[in-house]
Amino acid sequence: MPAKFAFEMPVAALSREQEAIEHYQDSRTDAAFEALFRALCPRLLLYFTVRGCDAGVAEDLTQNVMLNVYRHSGMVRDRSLFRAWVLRIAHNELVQHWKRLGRQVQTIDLDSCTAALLERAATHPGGCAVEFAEAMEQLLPQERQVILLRYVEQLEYREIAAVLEVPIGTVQWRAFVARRKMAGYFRRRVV
Amino acid sequence: MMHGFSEAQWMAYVDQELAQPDRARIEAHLKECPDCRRMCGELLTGHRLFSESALRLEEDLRVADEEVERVVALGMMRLNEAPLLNRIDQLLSALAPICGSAAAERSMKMAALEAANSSVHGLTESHWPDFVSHLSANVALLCGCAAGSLIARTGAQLAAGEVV
Amino acid sequence: MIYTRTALTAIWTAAGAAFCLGALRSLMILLSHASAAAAIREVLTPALLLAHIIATVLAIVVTLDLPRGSAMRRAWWLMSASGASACVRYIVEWIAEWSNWTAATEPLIGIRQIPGVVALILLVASLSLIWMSFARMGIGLSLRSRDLLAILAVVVLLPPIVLFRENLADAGSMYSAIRHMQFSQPFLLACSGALAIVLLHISEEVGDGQLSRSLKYLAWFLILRLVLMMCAIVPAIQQIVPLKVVRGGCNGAMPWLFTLAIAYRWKLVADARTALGQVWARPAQEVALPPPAFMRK
Repeated sequence: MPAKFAFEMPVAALSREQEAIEHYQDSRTDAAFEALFRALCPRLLLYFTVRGCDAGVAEDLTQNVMLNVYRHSGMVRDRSLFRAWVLRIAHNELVQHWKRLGRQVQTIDLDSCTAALLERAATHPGGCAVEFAEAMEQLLPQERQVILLRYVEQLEYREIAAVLEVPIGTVQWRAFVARRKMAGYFRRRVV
Repeated sequence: MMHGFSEAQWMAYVDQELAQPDRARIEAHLKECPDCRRMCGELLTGHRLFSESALRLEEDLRVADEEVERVVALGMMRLNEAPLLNRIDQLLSALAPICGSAAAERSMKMAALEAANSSVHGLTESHWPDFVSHLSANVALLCGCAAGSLIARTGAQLAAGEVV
Repeated sequence: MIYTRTALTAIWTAAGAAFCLGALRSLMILLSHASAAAAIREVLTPALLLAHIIATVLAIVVTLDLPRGSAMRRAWWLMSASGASACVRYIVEWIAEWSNWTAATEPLIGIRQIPGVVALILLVASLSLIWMSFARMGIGLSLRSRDLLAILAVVVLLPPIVLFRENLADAGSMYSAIRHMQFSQPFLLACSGALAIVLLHISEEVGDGQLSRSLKYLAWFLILRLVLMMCAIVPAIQQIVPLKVVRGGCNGAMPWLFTLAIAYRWKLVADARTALGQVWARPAQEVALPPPAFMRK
């Protein structure tokens, strides 16, 4: 029997977010939206920063995402997938941003993520960026997407499936493979 | 599938999210299968490593509360022009089938620059007449006077609050 | 808007029929059925003329819809004039056919080069102005490396054509002016081919929509013309039998591609007018905005 291990998610932050989402979906007032914005803003800023955007671009894209949320939240059919829907918008905004920069984008490949994190590590020594970037480099792009959404954005598998628009089985398989690869990488590093 | 259990079940077990009776079945299997015990160990290690490094990364990249407040304040300011954004959306959907979505967006950006020296999202109510005028002129140059007049008329009706 | 869809369907049908007839004619020639080939040609030549007449009329409609004094309006006037010049050229071809003129028997047949070259010059000028008009909106300014490669590919087509220019229809004319005009055609076609690559890039940049489609068809028409000229006069390519049949089909259908390009652009005008009519029909409660600049005297 494996040793017990509890993944200690920052429960307080998640529940604040969930409260703000539910309050906005129920009331749809501007005050509720502002609270939702405040709750989702750190998550969105982190989303864009981890994927290679500098602070100014991350702020702009975050605002664009929330504008879209405000205008189109009435279209969300499954309320439990609201977070996934917001991150799907963020994904699309990022793709549009890169297209505007003239880059060819098939998926949000996270080579820019690892490059950005390594760059950050150079200017912020002692940080965790390089460690995470090196870990991500062991994975395929599709696996990186799933791991980032699971562990950084802290989504459930069904939410990840909704963001990436792939079956949940595919998401779980990619997470399964990524975890085993990570274990192998760690073993090799220790040796 | 591995020895009769799906990847999802293995991961749920490792994450202590698997309900009975599947949990009992897996535990019974693990007593007899060293390969699966090793695989569980790898899953657990991978999970722990990802979790820890992601948590540290998040702490490292965390934005200060003041920054969040600033972004929210700016965002809410932009939102006050949301009715205008709906109009812009409707103009865009009227224009895109005619000259193409990219050309439509480019025309709107140019018109916003000419009318208000700002981006499309920076337009205010007072800029609207000039914006529509410039946009319809740009559209006329690309697609003809009929299309330009259509945009001019649509812009006027949107300003009056009509649904087009 | 049913009439625009009907018109487009008719043009597509005509293009398909022209392709089939052209391919059939080439097959008849290969099988030495000269009379059948001649009979098909009697249908094809007026059909080519009809294609250009329709294109010219529609181009004039498009021109009249554009703002006065604009570069785009001038471009479309040039396009209309090019179409009209091409009509004159096909009238001469038709007369030559009726009169059984050939380049060997009747030197006057060479006068078809005059409207032909004029049509090409006007077309190149029109395409240049269209590019300039888009460029003022910031569209079509930055060509990608693959566009430059495509332009290079167009330029590379030129040497074989120049090398075998003696195989051109009026290369042996007794009038030196006619011969010079004939020899200028490959260069003019190459210019239009290079501009076609730019148009393709612009059509991708504007995205989807009718404008993009019109530009694409225009670009492919221009590229096809150049390729067909090369296939017609380079001996190595002439020997490939299956290609002769396809080439015959493409020769028949090619002018209709031009007509389609103009027709899609015309459809944009027609649809906009229809939509405008519907908008005007609504009760006039809008805020009084000043008329757009292009409508002010």
